[in-house]
Amino acid sequence: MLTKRRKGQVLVVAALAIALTILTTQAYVYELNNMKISSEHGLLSDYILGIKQESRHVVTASLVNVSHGGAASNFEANLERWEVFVAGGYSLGRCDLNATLASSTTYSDGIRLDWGANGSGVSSACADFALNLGGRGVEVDWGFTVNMTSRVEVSGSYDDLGDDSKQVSVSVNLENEGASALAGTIVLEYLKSGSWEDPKNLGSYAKLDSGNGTYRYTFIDTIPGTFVRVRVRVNDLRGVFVETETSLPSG
Amino acid sequence: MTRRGAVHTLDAFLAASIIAMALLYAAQTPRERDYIGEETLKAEGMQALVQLNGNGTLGRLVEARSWGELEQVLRIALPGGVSFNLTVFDEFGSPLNNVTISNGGLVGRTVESLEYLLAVESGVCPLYRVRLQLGG
Repeated sequence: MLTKRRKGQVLVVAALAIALTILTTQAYVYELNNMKISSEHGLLSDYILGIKQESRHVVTASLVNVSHGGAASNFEANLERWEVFVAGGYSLGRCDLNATLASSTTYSDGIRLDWGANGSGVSSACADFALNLGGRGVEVDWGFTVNMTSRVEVSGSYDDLGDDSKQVSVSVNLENEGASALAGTIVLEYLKSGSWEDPKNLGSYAKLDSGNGTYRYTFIDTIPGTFVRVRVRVNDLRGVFVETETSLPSG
Repeated sequence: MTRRGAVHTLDAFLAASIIAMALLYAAQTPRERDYIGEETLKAEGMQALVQLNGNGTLGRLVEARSWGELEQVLRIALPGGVSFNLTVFDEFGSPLNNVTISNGGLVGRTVESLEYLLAVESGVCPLYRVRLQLGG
């Protein structure tokens, strides 16, 4: 009698054990699925990050081209090529990238080349991007702006040594996107009797590279006039060209 | 006797109900095969390519056709124990590398493939498609 009653209890306990096993297994599988989802999100995030990163490279490449004399329309053409390339490169669904050239008082067709005579030169390219990605349960709408700007600032002064002989000090500062940046090449020239001269030809020429995007130059020459006109032409490490001129006063 | 039979029937019914409820609950949670290893391989590959081209290194090596150097860089960027095979295509889909860019062929339980779109910071803005196959 007692044994038969216990048979029923054993049956219930066994059922509970089986149910517990099923639920434990399912919980384990669920955890694995969570890790998979997290991994997929990481992959997608890196893909989108890659699109943004390469969009920056497209804008920079266009700025390199235009700052070296290429047509401003090359920027738009490169962006159109990039849009088509991206649309065909996503195998898991739909990927649309639309770029709009910046247009304002300072930008024309997304390009700003302001190589002023006031000691400040700017080469810049700017575009707004809209990325739409869909498929396999994923829907991403994301907008970002890419603004690549190389800026050079020139300042300095001269000490009058008498008889038009002047000791000139020039400071050149280069920035990429507002942060100090190293130059690839810098050509400094000064105006003497109507022609641009290279101070490297002078024995007094000295250059100091601070290693942080600031370059200092000194040289002595006979330069008539009450100021010294200097011109700086820079290619930054990305290959973007920018130049500016300024008049240095007596220090 | 009849009451005992009824109790046994209730026991059996209770046990069956417990298992049925467990199965029902388990069926509600998503069930998928475990692809974790594959996804991690893909994610690691994509991460390596994104980081490599953060400063334009990958693009410069492709543009210079420096396949040997590219292979060395990938050996460093990818985790140890992961085999790889890289193919570079131009903007129009033609393969560019005339030598195999690999660390000895694809080996491993899992083989995965991913593609990365590459733009090079040079005047004509060349575009490339990089296909990275990974084994691990």
